[in-house]
Amino acid sequence: MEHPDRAQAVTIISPVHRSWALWLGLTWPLANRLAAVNRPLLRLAFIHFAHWSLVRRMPPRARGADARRLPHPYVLFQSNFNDDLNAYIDAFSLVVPGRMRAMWQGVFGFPGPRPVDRFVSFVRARATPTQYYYCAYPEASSTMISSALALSEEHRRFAAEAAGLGDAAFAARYAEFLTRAQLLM
Amino acid sequence: MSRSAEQPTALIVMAPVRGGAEQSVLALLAALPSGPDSPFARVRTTHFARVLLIPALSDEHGEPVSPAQAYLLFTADFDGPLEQWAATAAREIGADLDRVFEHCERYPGSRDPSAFLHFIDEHRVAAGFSIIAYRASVAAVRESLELARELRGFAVASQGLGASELASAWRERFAG
Repeated sequence: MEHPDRAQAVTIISPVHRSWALWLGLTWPLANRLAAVNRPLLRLAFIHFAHWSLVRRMPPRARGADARRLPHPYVLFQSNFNDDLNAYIDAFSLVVPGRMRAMWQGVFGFPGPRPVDRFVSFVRARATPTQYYYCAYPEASSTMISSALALSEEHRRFAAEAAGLGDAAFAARYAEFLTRAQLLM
Repeated sequence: MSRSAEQPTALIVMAPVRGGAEQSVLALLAALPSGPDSPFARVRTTHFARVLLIPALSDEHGEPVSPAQAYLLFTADFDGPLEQWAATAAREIGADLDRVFEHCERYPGSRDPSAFLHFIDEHRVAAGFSIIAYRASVAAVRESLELARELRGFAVASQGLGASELASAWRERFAG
């Protein structure tokens, strides 16, 4: 599960109470649209992409047969994140405990997001080892990418402004650009 | 799922593995090249991909569900629609995918694009709630990282230049 690259993968599949699966199925579409739900998770700044899903059944073994219902619904969590799994879970526990409850409360055996140690043990015990992982830009953290994209946009605006400037005006604008962009570099 | 032009598509496929094939799957995954030699590097719109074997689902007590059934979980985040990605994957890395997925029940192979896509659709798990830190294509991410590297280098190298030299150097480097 731990790789030398910045991006790491974690995958957890856990059985969940049917009533909780119903709650998740109803609330996720709304949560996806609410910036107030997403923003605190994005501010953690170490997630590239993360997805929560519900798995309820498998396709039939033979054509024309019925789909096979699993004994429980399962929550499947998979995330692409930076660096260290313990730090990742710590941050979830300390910064967004309410959101962790809203996501995991109905999972069998969920101990709650605090104390952190119990939550870390819960996640580690349920994480399935990743046998194969690919990242298209392994050298970059999520923050590096977000900053680089913002810097690209700043630079595009600066280049458009600078196109018709004389040298002295260019130098002044470049200094302004550097001031704006230094935190993104 | 609604999707803007720049939001990557999430593909999650979970397929039952034929009984007794678990060790073969693990050996195949261990032998797949990684990093820049990864097959997924040939599907250039792929941000992330993972393949793993779930040996068995657990019951509410944490015990393996009986009868034991292993699953292959494949996930990928990529630019553009699934159909386009699947067609490229079948063409570019179909043989690699086939070697792994042929151990799954009812896998038809990647040579028949419609059957391949049907298998994916049939075993696809919808992403319910997602956190997406950046909505940009693989190409845009790579270009931005490269530009950031160049701009850092330029900022250091251009310290102390006069206005005329600075403008000239920047135009030569970035305005061409």
